Amino acid sequence: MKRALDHWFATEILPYEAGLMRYLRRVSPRPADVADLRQEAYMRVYEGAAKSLPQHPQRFLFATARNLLIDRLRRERVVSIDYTQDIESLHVNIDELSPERRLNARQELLRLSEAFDQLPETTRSAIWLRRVEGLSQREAAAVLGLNEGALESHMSRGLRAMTNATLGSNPNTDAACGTDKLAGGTEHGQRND
Amino acid sequence: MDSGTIEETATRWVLRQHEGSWTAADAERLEAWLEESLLHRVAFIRLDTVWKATPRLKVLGAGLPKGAVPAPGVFKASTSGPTMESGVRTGYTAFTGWRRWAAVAASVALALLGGSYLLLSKVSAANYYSTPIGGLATIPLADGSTLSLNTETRVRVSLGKHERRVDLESGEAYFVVANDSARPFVIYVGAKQVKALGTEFSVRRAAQDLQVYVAVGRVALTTSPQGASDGSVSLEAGMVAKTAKSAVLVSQATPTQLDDALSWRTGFVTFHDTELSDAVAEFNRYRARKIVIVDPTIASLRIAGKFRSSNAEAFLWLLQKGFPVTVEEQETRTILKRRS
Repeated sequence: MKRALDHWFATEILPYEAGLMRYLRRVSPRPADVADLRQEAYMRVYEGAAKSLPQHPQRFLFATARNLLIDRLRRERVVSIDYTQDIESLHVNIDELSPERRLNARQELLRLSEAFDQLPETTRSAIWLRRVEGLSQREAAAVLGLNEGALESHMSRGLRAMTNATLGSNPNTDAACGTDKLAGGTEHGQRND
Repeated sequence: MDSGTIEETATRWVLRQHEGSWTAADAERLEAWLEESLLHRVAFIRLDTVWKATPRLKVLGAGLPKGAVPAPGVFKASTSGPTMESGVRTGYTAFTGWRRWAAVAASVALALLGGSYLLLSKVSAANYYSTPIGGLATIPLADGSTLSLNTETRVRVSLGKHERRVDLESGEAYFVVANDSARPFVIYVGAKQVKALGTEFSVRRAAQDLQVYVAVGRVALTTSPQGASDGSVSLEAGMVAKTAKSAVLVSQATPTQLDDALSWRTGFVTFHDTELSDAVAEFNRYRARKIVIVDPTIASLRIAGKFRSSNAEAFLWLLQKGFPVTVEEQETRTILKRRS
């Protein structure tokens, strides 16, 4: 039961993370809050889906995020000077919605490999040896000349960095570079379909 | 609310659940942590989803020697590779090969990558994996499941559209099965079948019989040929089942027994009040040069301890120290006698 919902969440909600992050970054006054907001939106989506599975996951996700921000605005007694937005400005832009369609296996792999390639060399090697070559922690540490604790922290940082990059959560992968790398890849893939 | 701290904890759980030392008790603790808050759960799903996908990076290493990490940018450069199948790697041997930590040969990878990518879409092709005597290998499968193979083990893996099938042709394997209700995961041991119901377990084959240890979740064991309605036994975590022809003996293992039985995954054999003859038989699984007890009066000595399965010498040395046993090395075998 739970497991089925976990799977639904991974396949129907997570693909929209890049768009969700673009939205949250635009409407949240404090950049440091964005990851927290994302996780809280996810929590509400999961909670809602447990009661009844939404017909349109993407719309449900963005509506949830927007409601979350509205709740926040209302709760803030003293609106800080830079918190100038009103509820009207919390609408979701079309560009935040459109690019993240569900990816096919090829596109998923492309994202995964790009995320993998962005890792520092040792971290990248650690992930490869453990996950692809199937080495144990001890063996991977020996190959890389690290102690097991250091290997573990490479794995831990590597996993988090890869998760953010694969799901398109990083700020440097959008907006600033015009058509960002990930969205560019997606569009390219869609043309091929 | 601090998503950073939760993410750190979730990361540790995701990484730990794939360690060899992962136990049923750990799984319970993880379950409890996930139940504590939905914030925990969504953080875990997020990281776990990407983590489970990482073995797919294997296609980047097509054509590289084992242990070599592909150079960055390999995949992007190959977006329109030729559609050939000859580049698909199917062989897999124990990871004694990791020492061959070779230089990166990106150009070879480039040439073969287009072909190996096909493997992802044509997942129904069967692959054979095997380990030699004393070998131990962990193999990530394309569906996110993981196989660990113990000494002298041979399996055939075929991930089909409607069934994920593993034929255990010989030896012993531990399975961490990725959930996919549309495609049941079934282990075949001759006519007997072990069906995973979202779970972790080991299966050991001896001729036509098998032994199953369930670490997490549930499995269904069928001893009669397909189609027969009876003969299916449901096993919960912590249970052990042994078959003798079509009969099945089910017992509840203590956590210690379960840990002992699964300690081979980390390269150990563990004994608790075990008869010497059984301990020797266990070591012999991992060595070509067999140990033979020629004096039956020492066969029932009771021993305990944890040893590297590859290091029977330490075991033999301790045996001579602590018991009335002498060890005699002969040309093709090792003899155990009572010390006179």
